[in-house]
Amino acid sequence: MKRLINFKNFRVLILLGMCALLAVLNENFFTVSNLMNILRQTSVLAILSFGMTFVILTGGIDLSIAGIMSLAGCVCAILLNRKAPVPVAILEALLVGAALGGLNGLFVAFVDLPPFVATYGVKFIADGLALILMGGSILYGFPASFKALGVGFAAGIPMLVILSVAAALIFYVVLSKLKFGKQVYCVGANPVASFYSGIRPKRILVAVYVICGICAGVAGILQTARMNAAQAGMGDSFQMLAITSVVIGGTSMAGGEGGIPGTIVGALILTLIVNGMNLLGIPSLAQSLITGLVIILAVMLDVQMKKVKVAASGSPRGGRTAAKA
Amino acid sequence: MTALKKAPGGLIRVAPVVYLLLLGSALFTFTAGNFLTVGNAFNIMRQASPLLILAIGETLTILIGEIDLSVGYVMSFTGLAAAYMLEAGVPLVAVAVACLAIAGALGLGNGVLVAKLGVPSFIATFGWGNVVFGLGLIVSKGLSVPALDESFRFLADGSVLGFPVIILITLAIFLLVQYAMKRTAFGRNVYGLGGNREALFLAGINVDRAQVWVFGASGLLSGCAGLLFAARAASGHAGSGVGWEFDAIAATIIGGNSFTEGRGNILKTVLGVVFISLLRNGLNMSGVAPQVQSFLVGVIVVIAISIDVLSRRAR
Repeated sequence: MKRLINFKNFRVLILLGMCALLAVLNENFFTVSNLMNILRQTSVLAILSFGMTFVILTGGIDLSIAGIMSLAGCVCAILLNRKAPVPVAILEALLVGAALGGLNGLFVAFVDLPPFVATYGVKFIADGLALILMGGSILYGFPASFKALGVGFAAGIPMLVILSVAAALIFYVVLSKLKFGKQVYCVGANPVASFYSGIRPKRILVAVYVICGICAGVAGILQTARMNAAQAGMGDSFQMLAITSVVIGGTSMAGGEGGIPGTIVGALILTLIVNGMNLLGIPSLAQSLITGLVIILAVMLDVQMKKVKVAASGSPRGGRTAAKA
Repeated sequence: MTALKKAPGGLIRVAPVVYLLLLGSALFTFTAGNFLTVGNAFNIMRQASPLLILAIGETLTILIGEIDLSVGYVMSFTGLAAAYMLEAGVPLVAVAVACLAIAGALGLGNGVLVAKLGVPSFIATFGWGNVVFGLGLIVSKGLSVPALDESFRFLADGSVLGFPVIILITLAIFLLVQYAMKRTAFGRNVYGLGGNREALFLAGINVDRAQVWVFGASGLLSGCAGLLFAARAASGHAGSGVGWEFDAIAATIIGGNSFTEGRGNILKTVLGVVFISLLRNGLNMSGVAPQVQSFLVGVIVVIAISIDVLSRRAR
């Protein structure tokens, strides 16, 4: 029993528990179409959260992803509406994401702004640009080859799911197998020590924010394709969800600890909460309350489990270090 | 007056935000005809009052190295509660006391989550804020509740001896918090929590409890802001303060308060709030389109903070 409820897999147990609960409460939950729907709903959030995982692993935070996501989606939509080829529109939207991510990275690494502040300023810039470009209008009706990214299937599996699984695999390998991944963890755990061991923390930081910006760009493109529409502010609701799925996934906000697998579970848990509330017919007015409660409970459980783990390993510091992010 | 410091050369060193304030005022005087008038100055201060009180609370949590993302939600909830009680005919003083008690309790809730249960403040206050927001939505069904009570509206629109009441109240709150920061154990604990928790603990202070009180104070101040904002709007709505937490944080940081070292004070926050309010007012009066405003505010905020950080490093 003790082996079963250990630190590593208790998140998966929570996830399975939620599935079991929903399956008992609603017979429509365990249908192929609803499960596929959940995976599809998770995809955009998961890709955003992967980028955020890199940033949080370095001890930072990125508050601009919703803005970048909106701007990338709008840029893509405007180009498509002007009959630009689909690959060109996608590429330009990705460049927008990379450029704004790079701006974040420069402010954090070279101006030494607190990540919270730098990325918050960039959020305003991205949101403002999206508003200026769109002028408050909604663009819709894109070519079928573009929409396929969001609603199409390949071999019976939704394209969105294929893309997000591919992203998960790539980022997992980057973080756990490549030298760059090790350096990201080192910078998060101890920037000074990493500098003296030959890592250039500033370069790693810029790279990490660029990755996060590109992920936000991808999310913006996919969301545009999925909704078949784009407007300024379309990414707003994703901002805190992405941070929360990373943290629920066990990545420490102090940096240096966590990873992609946890984030996948975190994103699934969050999506299940929303999907479950809809299935159970909980009125939308109550959803904010329940989401808030579940987020607090999930992270609280996470913190307590880490305390147990630290106490078991005999460290004198206890679990308090994680609290000061 | 820590914003004004004697530099080694004998010149008076002023926080960069002061230069920005002067620069902005000069610029707006040209672009907007009646920007530099007493009427508009009062107008800016009146508009800035709720944000200032909110930002003072936010500053307390930032000085201890945490963050409070729930201030906007607590503010809206308090305003909503006030509107309901006033409609039910409860006398104003009782309404104010009850609302501030609610707001303080909501703030203490944040504190318990952060200090006692170890949830990172970023997540705890966001989650708790959503709970409060959700409660407000359920109770009000997402509708706004009118608060037309004359004496309540006097708080926002009235004036005594030519001074707007809302500014007098804000000034009183500022002075009260300033006194608490300089002369009481509360203030010493705030700087201790931000600067060196270990030392505070070794000095025999209950560190967790001190932290809970700081979050309680932030909630209480958000409640004050909520009352004034509801009085100004003559109504309460569960979502009226959504997004205000970010303006409060931006103002705190632009003023030059440090996120990490427990350095700063609420006077800096006042400068930050005045700057943001002046910027918004000036852009409005100069006829800049709202979508361009958002972009410009972002650029200027980032530049202002960069100047502050770089000039501090050069020292």
